[in-house]
This record gives sequence, C-alpha cells and structure tokens, in this order.
Amino acid sequence: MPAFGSFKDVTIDIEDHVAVVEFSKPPQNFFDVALISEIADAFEALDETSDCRAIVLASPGRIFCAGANLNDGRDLGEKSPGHYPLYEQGVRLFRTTKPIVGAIQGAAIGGGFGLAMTPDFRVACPESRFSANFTRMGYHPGFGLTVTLPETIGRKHAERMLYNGGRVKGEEAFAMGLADVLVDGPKNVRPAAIELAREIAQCSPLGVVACRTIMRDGYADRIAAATDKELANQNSLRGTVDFTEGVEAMTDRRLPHFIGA
Amino acid sequence: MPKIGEYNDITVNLENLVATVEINRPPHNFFDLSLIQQIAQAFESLDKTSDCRSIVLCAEGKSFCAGANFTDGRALKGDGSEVGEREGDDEELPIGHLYVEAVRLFRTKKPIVGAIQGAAIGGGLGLAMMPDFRVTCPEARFAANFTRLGFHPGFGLTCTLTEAIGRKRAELMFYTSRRFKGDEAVSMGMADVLVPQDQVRSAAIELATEIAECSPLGVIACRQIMREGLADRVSAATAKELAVQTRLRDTDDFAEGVKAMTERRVPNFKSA
Repeated sequence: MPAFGSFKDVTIDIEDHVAVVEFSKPPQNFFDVALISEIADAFEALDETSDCRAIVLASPGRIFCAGANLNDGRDLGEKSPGHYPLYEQGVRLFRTTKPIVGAIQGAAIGGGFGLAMTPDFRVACPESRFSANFTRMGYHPGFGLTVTLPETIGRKHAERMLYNGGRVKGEEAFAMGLADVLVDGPKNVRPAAIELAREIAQCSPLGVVACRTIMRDGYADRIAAATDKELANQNSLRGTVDFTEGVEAMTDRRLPHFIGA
Repeated sequence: MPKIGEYNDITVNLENLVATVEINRPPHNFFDLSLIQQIAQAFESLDKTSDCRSIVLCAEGKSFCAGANFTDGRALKGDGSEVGEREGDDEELPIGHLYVEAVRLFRTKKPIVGAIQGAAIGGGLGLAMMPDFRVTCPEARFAANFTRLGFHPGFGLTCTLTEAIGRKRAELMFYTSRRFKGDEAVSMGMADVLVPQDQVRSAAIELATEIAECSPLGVIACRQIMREGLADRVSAATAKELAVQTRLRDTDDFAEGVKAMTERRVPNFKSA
C-alpha cells in the first residue's frame, strides 16, 4: 500500500479508495492530545483526497486504545487550570465528511472507548472489550460518550455502561448494536473492516458524503456541547479524594473505597 | 370482498372493517406520481369511511415495489418532478411534486399494515416504510440502493428508516446500498412479522383485523400521539433529500450508476 502524508504516530495507506489510518503507541496505545490531533489532521487531509472514499481507523497490537494515561497528567495537556484542549481536538474527529469504520481488535477503555465511538461503524471480535470505566476511577465520562453512546445503542444500554463502568465483550457489543460486525478472532478484524469500507467505497462518493451529512446533522455540535458539560464535571471531580482513590485502586487492581467526596 | 372507489392502478376492497389497498402494476410495481397520488386518495377517502378501521397496503406480482423506474426516463423527469397526469398542471409541475404526494401518505389517520411479499427497493423501500407495521417473508428483499445508482436516498427514508431501525442500521443501509432478506429485516426491526411467502397478505389482514377489533377512537388518538410530528419530519427530510438528488441527477456518476445497475456490474464512480 502506498503511504500517505507525514505523521509521528499515525500512518495512512490508501488502496482501492479505502484509507487505513493506523495510530500506534504500543503496547496500550494510550492517547495524548498530540495523537488525537494527528488523527484529526489525517481525517481532514483525507477529506481533501479524492482517492479516499472511506476510512478504516485501526491500531496495532492486542489493545485498540486504553484511553488517556491518567497516571500522567501531562497527557491531558492542561493549558491553564481547567482548560484541557483534548476535547477540542476530539470534536474535530466528528466534523469530517467521509465514512469511517473502526477496527476494534481489543480493549477500548475510557477515552479509548470514546475514540472507538468516532467511526460510523465498528468491527469487533470476541476478544474486543468496551468499557466506560470513568466512574470506576472516581471520574466522569468524557470524549462525548454521553452523546455518542446513547445515540448509538439507546439510552438504557448507555446508562448501564456509564454508571457501572463494566466491560462489554465483543459478542455482547454486537448484540447491543455497539459493534456492527462480529468476526472470529482479532486477526480477522482489520480485513473485515477494510471489506466493509470497500463496500461503501463502491457506492457513489457524492451520494454517500451527502447522505452522511444529513444522517449526522448536528451530531458534532451535540458532541461539542456534551464535552463541555463532561469536562466541567471532570474538573470538579479531579480534586476529590475519590478520584485519587479510584486511580490508585485501578493501578492496584482492587475495588475502590469511595466516600462521596 | 366489496370493492370501493375507482382507480387506474390500485384496487381498494373493504371487508370486516379492514380495507385492502392493492397496487396493480405487476410484476415490479414501479411507481410514478400518479400511483402515489392514487394511494394517497385511497387513504384519505378511507379516513372518511367509518366502516374502515385499519388498512393493508399490498401489491400484485413478484415485487412489492421496485421504486421509480430510473432506466425508463419517464419515471422521473430531469427536474425531479414526474410526467403529470393531474388535471390542469400536466406540464409545469414543481420540483419535488412526487414527494409532496408522498408526504400525504403520512398525514392520514388510520393504521396501516404493509404486506411486503417481495422486493422493496429504493423508493419502493420508502413506500414500504410508510405503514405502521410490515409483514414479510424470507423471499422479500429490502434495499436502499440509491448510492449504488450514484443517487441519494429519498422518499423520506433518511427519517422513516432511521426512526424505525435506529441510525446505525439506517446508515449501514444507505452507505453500502446492501440488500437485506426478509428474515434479516425482521431481526433488524425493519419488518414486524415473518411468515411463509404465500401467507404474507393473510397475516397482514390478520394483524389489521386485530387492530380493527380495538377501539377506533382510542387507536386513532394514540396513533396521533405516537406519530406526532412524523409527517412534518418526513416533509423536512424529503426537502433535504431532494436538494441532493437534484444536484446528483446531472452528474456523470448518476448516469454511470444507472448504467451499471442495468448491466449488473460494480459502477466506476468518479465523484463528478
């Protein structure tokens, strides 16, 4: 596949009108502001590329994306107290025009789950794991999940995932509509994602992009509004004892002792 | 069954409080402006018929409705309107006249069950998604094949399909133009009852009869609440759809899409 563009942690390969955007920070593919910004740059560049009609978002290794590394506060790129540009970059992922298929070969956790919800469709396997583990960490869901999740799987399923922070496996994700295609084993995920993207790329590019604009009417704006609310809650929780305890308990792999303060 | 009304391309029968509106353009029941007008007229007159409490919409022949016939240029004229048969305005029909008539189908009051015995493709899927419920069979086919034609979904499907099966599944159907079989349609929520092919119409009449046994005032009032704003949302959706369709109809991709469909091959689109 011919390489396209020049990025630090992202590579783009285009073949048969399908661009595979791979972000790579092994082994856990934690993101930081710079990575989200690079993925957004890639999507925006592909919008300008007529050779690209559909995109596959993928990552190497066993984990799709483990989210932001909360043990390292720098990853959130705090500019001034309470001002985190992460979601400004995150919302850019929802403003581009070409359809995206996510190849979710493994765990998509926390903000990584938020990233996994940016594509139009998701291909998963039994080894995939989806978890909005924010409340388990004494934190608040972010990355627009309070909009993307209910709009994709309905409010009930979304509330359950956001309130209990539990892990949803690939089969269950498929049954809930969280994943659109289920294949047998992680190695089959990316080929199946490329196959779906090719099916889309065989359709009229003008028709697909116009239709996607109608189907996603207002979606990015709703997400931008949601991330504002999410960030306000995250900022107020970040100073609590419960947040410290939640992160510590996650590191120690034990149940946290929350006190509501 | 006692026949009521006189139409060119549909037959309306009324028996045991259930009206059957049958489209008679076999085998594929392609629609044009006139056919949609006739169905709208039938529904509107059934609204005024107290002997009718529910309606079955069905079609004669192999397909339920294969949509507008794009390979026959007469089905839709270049400006988006259709060759008119209406008195007084047979030349200068406004753009989108077809969808104005289509929206009429969503403004009537009595519950409708669709008997989808065969293919419901493109605009035919739009017509199939208009009833409250759908009875189908494994042999039926559901496809929003617009983007395969270099075209854009219409007939309010960006609203009706999304509200019926959820945005994800609607998006998958729109962006891939993929065909779904009757049993898949039921598991997706696109159809409500699955029966063998020769029982589709009788099962639809059975469901309509079950509805007709309930309080007509209660059913109509409840349907009004459940469908609140639907006709307006469909109307707004058709306006957006038509704007894109009008733009795409002049592209090389549309010509190529229709040609490829006729030749049963993958189209070679150029984004122009």
